[in-house]
Amino acid sequence: MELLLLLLLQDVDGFGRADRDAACLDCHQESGEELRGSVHEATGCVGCHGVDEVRRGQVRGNPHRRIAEFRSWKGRNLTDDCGSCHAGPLEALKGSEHYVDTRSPAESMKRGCIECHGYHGVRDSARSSIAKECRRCHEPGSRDLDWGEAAFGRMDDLERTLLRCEEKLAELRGRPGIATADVRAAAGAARRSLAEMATAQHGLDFIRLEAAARQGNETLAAAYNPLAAREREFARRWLLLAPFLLFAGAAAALVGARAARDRKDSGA
Amino acid sequence: MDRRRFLDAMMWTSVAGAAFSAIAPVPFFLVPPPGPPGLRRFRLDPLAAGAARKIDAGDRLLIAVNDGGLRIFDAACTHQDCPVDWNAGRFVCHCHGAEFDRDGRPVKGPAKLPLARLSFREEGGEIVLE
Amino acid sequence: MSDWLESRTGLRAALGSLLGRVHSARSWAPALGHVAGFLFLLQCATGVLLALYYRPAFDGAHASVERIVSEVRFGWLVRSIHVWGTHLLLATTLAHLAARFVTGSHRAPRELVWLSGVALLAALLGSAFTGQVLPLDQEGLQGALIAASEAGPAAEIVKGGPRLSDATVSRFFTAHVVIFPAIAALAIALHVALVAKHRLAGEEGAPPGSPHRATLATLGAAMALAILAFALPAGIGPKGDPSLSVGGVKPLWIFLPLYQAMKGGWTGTFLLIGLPAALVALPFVDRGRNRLPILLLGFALMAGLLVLGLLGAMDGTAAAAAASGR
Repeated sequence: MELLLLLLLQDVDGFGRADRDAACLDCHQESGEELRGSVHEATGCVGCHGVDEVRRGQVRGNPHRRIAEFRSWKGRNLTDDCGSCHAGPLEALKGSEHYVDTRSPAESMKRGCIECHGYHGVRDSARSSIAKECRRCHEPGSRDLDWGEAAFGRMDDLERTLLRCEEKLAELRGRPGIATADVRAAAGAARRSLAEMATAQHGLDFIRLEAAARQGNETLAAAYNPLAAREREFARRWLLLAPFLLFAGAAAALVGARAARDRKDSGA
Repeated sequence: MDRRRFLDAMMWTSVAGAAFSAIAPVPFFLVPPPGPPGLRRFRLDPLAAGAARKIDAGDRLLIAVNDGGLRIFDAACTHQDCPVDWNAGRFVCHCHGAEFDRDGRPVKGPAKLPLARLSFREEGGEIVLE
Repeated sequence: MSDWLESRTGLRAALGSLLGRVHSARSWAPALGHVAGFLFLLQCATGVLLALYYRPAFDGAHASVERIVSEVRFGWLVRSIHVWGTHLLLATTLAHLAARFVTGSHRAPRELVWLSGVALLAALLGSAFTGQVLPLDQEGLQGALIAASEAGPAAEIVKGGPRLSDATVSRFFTAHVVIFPAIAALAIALHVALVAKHRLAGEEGAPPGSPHRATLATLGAAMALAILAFALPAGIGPKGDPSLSVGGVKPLWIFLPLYQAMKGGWTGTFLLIGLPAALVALPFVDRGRNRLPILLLGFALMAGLLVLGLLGAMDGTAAAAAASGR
């Protein structure tokens, strides 16, 4: 059996991702089940656990041990694995109380990324889903929980405002007479700052986060509110037309009168 | 004025009124609406001591100078908006010979107002204007 | 003050004499030409205003029109007048042409009046076509592609290169703003001068015309245009994507008969060559005393074009209905 694995894994280069994973899944079916349907399905087993050492033909003895050593269970902080792609959130996390600076993998699973997001079966990392995880440790009514939920709430408000704004902008694009360029710029800025907040929220500095989100919401609302007024103003454009129609109509009537008068004169 | 002349005058007044109300929007049309806001944050490669660099912020031109510390000014000369250059401790404007000291105060030439100095902070390798 | 101007330029006398000879006190028909002339001048004026903001670049053109429509103060109004003005100008010109055909004003010795009018129509059509391309929305891009493909070996001249690019926009812009309007202006000058000459000679005993009917018609057209521009202002659709071939993209209504005919291959070319040829040949063919055959032929042609145009207008909806039913 080990020999078979050895042979398979030696020529890993010629296999596709599915084939590579197939070798792992022979034994690790449960992990494979969790991975399927998760956001990391395309990454596969090797995306995080890797088989580079095995590929380079340094297989000796049990290749399984080789894999285990490369991403071994000993002497490292597992959140570094997540950070190899998600550097921003890990940076932010390192400044928070949820980061454990440890060399023990088991310890690192207790409070880092894995605590809230899980590992193989990461499906939904939306703010509303992750927020439920807080209650597993933080008591309702506790200061940390209140601050956290307040900050998340403000960020959700901002996102709702932003979605409404973007919908309205899409509706108004190319419609005559309603200026939207400033609102579009504000919505773009809000999108960018929301993305920054999504990274920074891993630092758990909820007071700053809540203030930033509230500020962002106010700024966006201030930019967005004039739109309704502009639509109303455009609907009132007929007031502009009235003077022209009145003058032109009067002129036409008077020209007609003059024409009639001229005809009468030349006929008489 | 008899009736005929009155009606004629009324007719020309109406025509003039119609023409005026048709042409009235044109001056408003001609004034360009504000463009997109310029850059508020950008990367700036380190400047050698005594060196300066112009930065195109979209809606205005800026000049950054390393003169014992980084300073950023609006590069528009306060006389007639020509872009200034940095030359040996002074900002000089080549259009009419205005000169400003390292704090942006006018010291020579036709400019009366100082150059606009911008406050900023450095964040993550970028300059962020405030 | 008008006396001051009069003694220096003699403008009032010249205009009065010209207008007197162009207009007839008897019928409303000549007013149509006057209205068309006014609309042409209005198109030039609104066109100049639009050109102050339009960007003739492949990437910037659509955004600049969006800016005119949304951001520029009264930009929507100037553009709406320009768009509705196109429709009214083309409709008035066609009506004027039809009326002139019926009254036989193309017959000797007025052939050149008619021919200058035909040239004017061609220039207006060219302007309308190139103008529709400029916003570079889906209709615009399609128009440019069709022009290039119809040009056959001259496709590169139309496109300004092997593909649609900035050069294409430059060419269409120059054609729309300089080339076709210049031809139109020359044609108008020739047309009006000839009409004045022939009116004086032709209508013996007719009272000197007064411009009142024309003024009334012009005022009426201006009011109608204003109401249309305010009631149905022109917006702009999404940016055209050259890689998409979107169904149901139609040209201006006046090109619909040609659009429909082009589906049949040879019928399209036949119409494209035959119709102008017929218009040009008309004064030389219509000489006899009995006008009935020519009149009937003319009406048949107009009816045929109308049918083609309606078919062209409807086809997209039928295809869309079929597609959604599938």
